[in-house]
Amino acid sequence: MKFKWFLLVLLALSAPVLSLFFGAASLSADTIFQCVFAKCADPVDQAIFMEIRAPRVLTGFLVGAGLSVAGATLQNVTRNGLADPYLFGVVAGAGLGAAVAALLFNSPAGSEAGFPAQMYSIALPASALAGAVLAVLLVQVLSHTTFGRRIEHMLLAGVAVSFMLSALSQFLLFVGDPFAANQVVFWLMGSLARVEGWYAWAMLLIVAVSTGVLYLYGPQIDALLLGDESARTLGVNVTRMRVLCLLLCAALTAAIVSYCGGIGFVGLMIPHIVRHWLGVTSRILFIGCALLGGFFMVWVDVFARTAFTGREIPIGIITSAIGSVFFLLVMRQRQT
Amino acid sequence: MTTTTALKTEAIRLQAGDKVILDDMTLSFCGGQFHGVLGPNGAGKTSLLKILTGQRQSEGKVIWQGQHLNTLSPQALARQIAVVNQVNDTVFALTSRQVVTMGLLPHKNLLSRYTKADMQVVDCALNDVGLSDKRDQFFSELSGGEQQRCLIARALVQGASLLVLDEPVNHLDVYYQHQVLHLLHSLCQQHGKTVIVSLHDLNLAAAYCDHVVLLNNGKAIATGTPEQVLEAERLSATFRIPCTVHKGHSPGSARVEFMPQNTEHQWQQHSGQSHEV
Repeated sequence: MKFKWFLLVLLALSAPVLSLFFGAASLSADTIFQCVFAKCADPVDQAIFMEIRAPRVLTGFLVGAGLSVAGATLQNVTRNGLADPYLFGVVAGAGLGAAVAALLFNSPAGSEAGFPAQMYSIALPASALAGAVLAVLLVQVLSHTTFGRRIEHMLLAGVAVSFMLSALSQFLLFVGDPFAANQVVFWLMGSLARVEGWYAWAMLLIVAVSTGVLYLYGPQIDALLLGDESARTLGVNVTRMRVLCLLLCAALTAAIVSYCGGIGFVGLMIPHIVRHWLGVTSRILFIGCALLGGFFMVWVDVFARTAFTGREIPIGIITSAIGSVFFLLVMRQRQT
Repeated sequence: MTTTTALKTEAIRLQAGDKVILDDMTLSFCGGQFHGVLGPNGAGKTSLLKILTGQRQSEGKVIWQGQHLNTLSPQALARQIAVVNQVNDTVFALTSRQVVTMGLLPHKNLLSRYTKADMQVVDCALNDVGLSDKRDQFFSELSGGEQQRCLIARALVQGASLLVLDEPVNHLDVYYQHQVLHLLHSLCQQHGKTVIVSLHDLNLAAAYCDHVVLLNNGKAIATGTPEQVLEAERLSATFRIPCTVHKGHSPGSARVEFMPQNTEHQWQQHSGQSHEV
């Protein structure tokens, strides 16, 4: 077990360091060393390193870690290995928000109506975040009032809200400006290209606080693995704890999706690997997921920005492709 | 052995819609004894156990060692009352040791760590229930009897003085039925625990219980020692099948034998009728 942890920590720490060497502009080891520990001799290198590459690597790590921890939490809290951070309508809500922002701030009709195009870069993540939060609130309200308080009802409410909001955003894109629709479709594929320095620090705060709180609640989340009734008899306030976990996961996912778009399968695949490799109890799972998820996303992003010269592959495409193949291999392995 | 009342109920009543599940039930359970809750399906056994353990609210009072159950916080309650419910499913691969470790949860706060001493308590409990060689085996891969013993070990780790188990020998073969009940009985005798179990097998109740409560239609129709409660006429009326009861001179020697007259006429006559012979 100690060797597994050593290996995981080594992988997780080496990924951000090594990935700094990859990108459209080539930075030598000397330059990077200089940029990290002093100041780059060339102001262009300084700008590339400090404003583009380092924030992007840090954000990539945090996005992978955040999505994986959120996935692991939801799977343990719902006792469902297929639960995913996107199950609660977060991506669909963010997509709707993005569609509204694109139609208002990035289309001729929006400009005529007085929505300034220069606000689009702020309006897109803000509107996506609002859409994601709206979706989560809608799921919570529906599952508590219409369906009841059982976890299966919450999952059903999540699926229903996801489809409802997706239908709405697709309708808006259908009737709206084709150029704006095109942009939203690309945004939904997921990318770290728009990342800025302040966002990396904001993500660091969100991921660290959420993971820290979830880590403290680890043993209580574990108690849920034997059922709600069993957890209650161990003194766990099941409803309060489940709502807390869902809100933390929703905040984590909404913060990621609103800026980086849809990045699927990470929250499903990484907890699956860590659970089989290190164990199912929450504290171990969360730390393992943060490390492996971060490692995975950093290298996916490196591939996304270096595979084709002059253009980036949206990372959502890569994660979905890897995720689907991974699950097919897992199924095949279990059958044999 | 302690014989003072540890747990008592005062006029508890539970209603779901128009249906009365438990009605005006006043009971007392002595400390350090093995209590059995008996009765046909739908008599209210599970509901009674849930009310006794604070899992379900009802009218009336449940008093545990002089304190009203509602005044205890969930964590304080878990430190004093350990419960093993009927359904305990795991989706993920928890080991027996991890399941038993959960019993420490009521004694921990958010910042607590699990120490070596904690793990010694867990291993000791696994040893007490005879599962020390299976501590790293997955809970879902244990046999029914082993799973029950594992959950009893978790209850031991909880440090609770009252153990409540809902049909702990359901789905177990004869060997494991006796193994689990023998273990519970020894917890009463050697550790002074108070144990309350619901049972379907009246002969097992007669063999292991110090005190039984017979329920029917949401009412406690008899309480006392197995020899006092298990009477042929009462059981025939309650279970709607003629029976005879053989009683020896020593405690635990009562034996119930049901004699179903399996004719089409008989079953048709009894089906749909409420508890009449």
